Amino acid sequence: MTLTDVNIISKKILVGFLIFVVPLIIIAGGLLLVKILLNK
Amino acid sequence: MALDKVLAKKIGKDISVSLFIYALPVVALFAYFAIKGQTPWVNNTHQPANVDVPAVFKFLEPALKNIRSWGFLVIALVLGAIEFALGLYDNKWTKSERKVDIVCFLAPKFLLPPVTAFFSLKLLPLILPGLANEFSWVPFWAGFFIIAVADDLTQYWYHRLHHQVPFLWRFHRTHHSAPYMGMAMASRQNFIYTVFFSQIYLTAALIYLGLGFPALVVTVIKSFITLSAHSSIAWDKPLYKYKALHPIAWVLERLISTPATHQSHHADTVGDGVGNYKGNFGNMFFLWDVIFKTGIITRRYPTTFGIKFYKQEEWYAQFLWPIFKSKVAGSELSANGPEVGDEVGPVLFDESDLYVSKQLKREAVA
Repeated sequence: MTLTDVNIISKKILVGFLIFVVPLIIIAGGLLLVKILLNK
Repeated sequence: MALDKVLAKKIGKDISVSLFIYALPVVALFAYFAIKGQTPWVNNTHQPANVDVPAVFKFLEPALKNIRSWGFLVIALVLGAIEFALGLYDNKWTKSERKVDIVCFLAPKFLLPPVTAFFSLKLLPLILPGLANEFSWVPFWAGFFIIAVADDLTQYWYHRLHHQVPFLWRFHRTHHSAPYMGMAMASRQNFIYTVFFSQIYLTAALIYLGLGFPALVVTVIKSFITLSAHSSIAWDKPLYKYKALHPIAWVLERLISTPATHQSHHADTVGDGVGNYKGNFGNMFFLWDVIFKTGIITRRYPTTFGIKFYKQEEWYAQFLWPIFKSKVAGSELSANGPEVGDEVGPVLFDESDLYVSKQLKREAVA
């Protein structure tokens, strides 16, 4: 495995991480917001 | 190979729309509780949901409850055996293809669980401390829509980007290299593609947050839809044959992946009204392809499958590229191999390539 391969895998992991973390923030953040807004 | 600017713009626009779609089930839940004036999280009075399996399918219950471990394996094996008995693999399931299919089917069953267990049991409590079961008050119907959208839309994007972003293609190439369709295709993936499947970790995080039961139900439904979409058993054929069933076909082919629309994605042609390997990215839901205009709805089945630049690479290269490279000269998976992407690219046609269709060869010559 070369440095280029490591670079490609790292970039791939970063793309995968973004696809994972953005929806998680929207959903978990949204559900927390539901609680906060309706608790008022 | 750089990402086309027009395509990059379209991807950016579609991602923006997706962010809104992810939020929709949560907005619906907010509206529901606001109208009803309920705050079920106050005393967490919510009763855990339970869905009874119909009596006819009772024998399947243990496999369905264990869909994340051995359940999927058993169902896929049974359906695969039916395909095999019906002779649906024809004579294309050569020794080298069998090796790739079997390794890709079995190895992740042993290699993936320790990774996901570590993520669920060790990493999530660290990343989201004190939030275990925080959202267990979410009603089943809402949890179902949240998970179904989150899991499948995330997989749509993961899949679409592996086709449209050139440097990602080779991680997904193994899934398209087989010149046939069948049950084994659902698992035929490069391991690095599988182990970094974003939706696995997203769903695991939502389970940790308290949406475990809806996640199980979604997984069962999704497993059946994706397995049957990859299958060579065309269960959707009667829907197109009988006029009375056309309204059902119309809805289903827009909502979920059918053998016709998903086989189209595995075809080795594009632009002929049947094959659309540059689209039809949906996994459980085809709806994403309808929304983002990446799909074609066809009621015909492709006659040839696979990729143009397939060189029947070794199983270890297909399963573990770029850790292990192919020794086949000129292969995309070889050391310093060309970055072809999922392009047809007539310039790159190789006469020794077994899977270049006659029509495309004629076009290349013209």
